[in-house]
Amino acid sequence: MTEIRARINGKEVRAHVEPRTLASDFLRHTVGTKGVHVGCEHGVCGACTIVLDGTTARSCLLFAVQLDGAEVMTVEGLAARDGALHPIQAAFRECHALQCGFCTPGFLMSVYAFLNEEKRAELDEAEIRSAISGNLCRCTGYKNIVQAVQRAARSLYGGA
Amino acid sequence: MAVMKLMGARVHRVEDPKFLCGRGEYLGDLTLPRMVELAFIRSQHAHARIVRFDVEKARQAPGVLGVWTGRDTREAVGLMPAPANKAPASVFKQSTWHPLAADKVRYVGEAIGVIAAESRYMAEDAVELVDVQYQPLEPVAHVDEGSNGGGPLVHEEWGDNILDHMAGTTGDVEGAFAGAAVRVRHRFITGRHQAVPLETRGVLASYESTRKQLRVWSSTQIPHVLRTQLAAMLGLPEHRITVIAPDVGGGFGLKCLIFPEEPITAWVSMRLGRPARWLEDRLESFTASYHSKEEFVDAELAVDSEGRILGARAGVVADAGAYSTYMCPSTYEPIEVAQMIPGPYDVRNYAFTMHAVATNKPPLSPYRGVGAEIAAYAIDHLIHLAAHRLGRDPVELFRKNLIRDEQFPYTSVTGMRYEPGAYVQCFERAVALARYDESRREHHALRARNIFRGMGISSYTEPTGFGSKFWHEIGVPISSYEAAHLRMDPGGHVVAAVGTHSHGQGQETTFAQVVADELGVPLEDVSVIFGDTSKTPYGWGTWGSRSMVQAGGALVVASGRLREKIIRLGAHLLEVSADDVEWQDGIVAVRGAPSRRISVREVARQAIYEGAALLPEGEEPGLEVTATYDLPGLMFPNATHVAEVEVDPDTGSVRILRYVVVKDCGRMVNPTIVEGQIHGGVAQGIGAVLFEENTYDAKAQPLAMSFMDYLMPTAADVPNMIVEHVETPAAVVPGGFKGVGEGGVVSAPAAVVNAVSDALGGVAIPRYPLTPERVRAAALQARQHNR
Repeated sequence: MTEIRARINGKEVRAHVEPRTLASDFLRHTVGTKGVHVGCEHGVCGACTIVLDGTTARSCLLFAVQLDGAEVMTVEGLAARDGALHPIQAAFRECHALQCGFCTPGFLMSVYAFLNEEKRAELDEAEIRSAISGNLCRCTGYKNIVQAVQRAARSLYGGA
Repeated sequence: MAVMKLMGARVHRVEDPKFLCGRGEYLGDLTLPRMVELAFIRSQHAHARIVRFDVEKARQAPGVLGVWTGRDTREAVGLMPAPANKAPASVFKQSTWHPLAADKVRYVGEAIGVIAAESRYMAEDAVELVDVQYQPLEPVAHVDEGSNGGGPLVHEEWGDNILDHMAGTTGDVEGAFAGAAVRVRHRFITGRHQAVPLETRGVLASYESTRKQLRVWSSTQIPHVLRTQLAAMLGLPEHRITVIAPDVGGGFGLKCLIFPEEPITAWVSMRLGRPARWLEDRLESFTASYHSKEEFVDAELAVDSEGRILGARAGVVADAGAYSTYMCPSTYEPIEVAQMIPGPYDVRNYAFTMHAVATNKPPLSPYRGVGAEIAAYAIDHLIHLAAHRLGRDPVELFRKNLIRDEQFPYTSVTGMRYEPGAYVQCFERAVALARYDESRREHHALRARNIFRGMGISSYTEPTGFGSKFWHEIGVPISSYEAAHLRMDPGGHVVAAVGTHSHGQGQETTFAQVVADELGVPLEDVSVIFGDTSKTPYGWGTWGSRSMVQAGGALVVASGRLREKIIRLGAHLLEVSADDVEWQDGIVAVRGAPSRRISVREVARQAIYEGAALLPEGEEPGLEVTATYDLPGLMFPNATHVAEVEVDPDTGSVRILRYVVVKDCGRMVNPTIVEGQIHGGVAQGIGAVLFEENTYDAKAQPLAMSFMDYLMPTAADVPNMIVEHVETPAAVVPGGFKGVGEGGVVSAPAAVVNAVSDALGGVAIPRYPLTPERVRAAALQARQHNR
């Protein structure tokens, strides 16, 4: 067992983990952030995407020990403490950008990191599609997700 | 006061906040105290006998609580269910399918044993320690080998590999072909692929021996059917079993079937006296869950010199895999291909044969669109090719042959009754929205600059709803009515319980819209529950675009009955006769004296809580109603899809530039949700036609075992679709619904195939997925042809 410390959704976490424990399993089962979804465990589907020190990472391709000293955000860290949806979440709802909901946390994390980096209200479709092409969704055909990202960008950076 | 009508409104989904906050409860999120985790031992051979199975080392491994093989479960757990196809023309053969294979394995990935351990990591470690010796047998890797006599047999007792065979002829097919100006014939092959829900399958079971109660959570679309089948396989009375389908991360048909891991996980829990959970990993999902749509269709079309269809023939052969699934048998997909090839066109002469051939691959099972997608590919590509042969624009031939409005109700050449639908209107609107004529002119001009663009059209009508009568007529011994239970509480709120299951379709929202409108209460006053067999009426689950037709129909009927009762009680409380009141969206008012009125909420309070003793004579207390609905046969929504693509003949890449859908799914409850279903279906159709394939080698070893080999459409591949609606309410269905879940996928492959062919001057595209090699081959053929 190895001791790790990380800041997860703003809270200090200390835990002892087996070296082979995947970061996704650690987050789901030890920390309890079950919004980290496991869809393939080989780094393609993106459902387990987290924000790790400001950029996206596939938690199924990391070991828990690699989170030592890191700042981690999962989907649970997105909404306000009172449950009010983050503008990205609200945009996903308004645009019907989710159906079964399984891929949704991974998309939200990818979009959060993307918008945080771009910080622009107007994004064209091609750059959004490129930014979310590392996340698979089997339900929506992506159209409404693209619209939700546009809406969220305007909501976050549109001024006024 | 105008009350906002919820039916047809773009209401935001009530289920969204939990998913957006990561608070969905999928199978992998459920844990129980003392729970053990399972890993399955699976065959590495496509066809072999198990000679030796040594599990001793695995038993001794750290954390392992039990190891069982097919020999341990052969007597203890019943056979996998397989419904007979009892149709007179069918030769459907039953197979003996043990949930864990004991003697012979029939596909790579077939479960042969199971290990229970304190953690999944430990269970998987132990699987590595198992020593299995096989005597390999020659596999049946392809339908051609399967159909020939004298080769290896998947099931020796059958004497051949034919799971099912049917044939039919209507009209004068020979005469039609003899008199044809143009005959087009091809063998169309569609790649084996699968539903690939983002959440894999999973089962959690907990047996409580003191109460003799088994609870099973499964990532399933059919909780009630699973309960019935578990009772049979485990020898438990059904009232001791509860099945719960929690949040399910996509199904698309894959999860409307019974799987071997379900009875085995339950049995392990009973055996150990501890809760047991199995979560499928993606490798298992590719190799050990069910596949779909590997069909070989020899199709031929006869048209006259004006392009009118004279007749068609089809020989449909399905690679059905090793066993037939339940509840929908593996033969249903090729049957639907054969039945739906005439599609939305006026075809009077048609002959077909259908063979479902057993092979050493995982079972073939229904996946969204099922056979309709392959039928649309065959007929629409033939029409498209016939147009090119005649030197006409394909749009002309499609237009000319569509069933016209005045022909409804229309009985198809395969005996299906098509309800009225806006076939022509959807077609014309889609062609206009796609700028078909202008685009095609532009494409001709671009060809001089070596830019290859094309337009592809496909229209379909698709069987949905699937009432009990349909299954009875094709000889499958299941029903498929739905029941809805409504319970109004003393505060006037309503709980609606149904036997279907929502896994992305938004039924918590749409069913609430239906009920709230019928009862004149706000949306937030209605809760919808499903998925728990102890809380919902028996039902057949969600598949076949049936939930809004069958459960929605039942909800309309139940709501109507509850409303009638509320009106009777309201009149009684107002001290007038029921004939003297009128219903004003949630208010019972005395006709001609509108100030004398009572709200639903007040009726509920008085009728349930305060005044059961004051009810009129003969009126039962309470406000609870159960109603059923059973569509008399099938429903037929329709649509036209138009795709515009650009093909690079050198790299073989296909880029979709524009995609239009105009659809008639009857009355829409929530157009936003309808559009979402179409977008998703189209994306799956694009995946099927361009990327996805469960490839196998000549020894039936799987080659697609991860998302690196099995390519899925991403946001960069799927175009920005334009979707419009035409609404022709279904006259026979309460509510007017036709069903929409599957439609998007049906025409997408055909539309893209036709567009690619059009870009290459009308060359035949006999196979998909359109891998770059296949596109390059088609481009080369087109170049040679034009030389």
